[in-house]
Amino acid sequence: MLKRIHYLRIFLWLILASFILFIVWQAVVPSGRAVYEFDFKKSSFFIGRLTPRERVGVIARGQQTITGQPVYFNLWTPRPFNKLKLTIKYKSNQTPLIEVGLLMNKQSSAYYLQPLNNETLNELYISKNWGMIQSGQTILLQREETYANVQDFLNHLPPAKNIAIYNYSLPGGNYKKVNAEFIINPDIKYIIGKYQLPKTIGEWQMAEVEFDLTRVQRTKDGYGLMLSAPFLNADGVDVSFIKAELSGQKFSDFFKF
Amino acid sequence: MKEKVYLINREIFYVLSFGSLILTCLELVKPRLVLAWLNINLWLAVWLASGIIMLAIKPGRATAKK
Repeated sequence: MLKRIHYLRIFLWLILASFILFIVWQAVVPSGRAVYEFDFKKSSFFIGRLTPRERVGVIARGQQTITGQPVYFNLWTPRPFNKLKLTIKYKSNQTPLIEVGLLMNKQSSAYYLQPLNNETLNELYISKNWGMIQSGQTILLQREETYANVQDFLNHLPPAKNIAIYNYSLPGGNYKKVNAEFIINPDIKYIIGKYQLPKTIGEWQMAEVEFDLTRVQRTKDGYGLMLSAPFLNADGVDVSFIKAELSGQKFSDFFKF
Repeated sequence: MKEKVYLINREIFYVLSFGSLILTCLELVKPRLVLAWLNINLWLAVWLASGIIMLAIKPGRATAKK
């Protein structure tokens, strides 16, 4: 009997030691990579709920509707990271522009915005009337296929009146910007922007945005994020999934001299 | 049988007590770290239950009543 109790004692202490080791492992994240998800079914300790309450509907059937903008949420991490790839599954309901912002400085409430969804660019691509070239995060849409790649376009820029830009800067010229009020006139022949077209999954769309976290002020609540949708229509924007993929220094890097 | 249950329960109580201490220290050092992975209500409920059971079926107490 006493021998059995002795084995039980060893077993229980081993379980406790393993659990504590697991907690410490999660705090250190030795691999330098971490993935946190929020599926709007079960609350996540790492990705906070969308706030303020007045601007969102209730969470039902694994989704939530954004009825006002902007809405905010936090991404809590046990340690600092260098890069964040945010994947969001949403239904835009024809909202022309959806952007994700990362809080750079809490005192000044300065957000760095990245495009999540641009209906104008999506429609141009879907209509197949415009050709599209993608190079990394840059896309080039052209009415007639004149350029073979983005570099060729940048080396031989057409007149400024033929170009519209989105989340991109080009030297000189007064370029039209692709925003919610943008109308494509016949002069516009090329649209260049830093944008990744969303993937379509049934009625839903899934888009990714990347942020550099090295110059971001991390608070005790983690990283501050924002979803902005200027010109939000009455149907709002439905969100059903948020995934944060973080990468940073590996634990082994701390011992390199 | 009663003694067996008492001994098993005692081991569980000791591990949970020491675990509570360590996890509290970890949570103080790095807030939210433990709470992110552990349902503290469940942990405390099991710890409390094991403590009550241990006191209720303590062999020495039963002998004294006799």
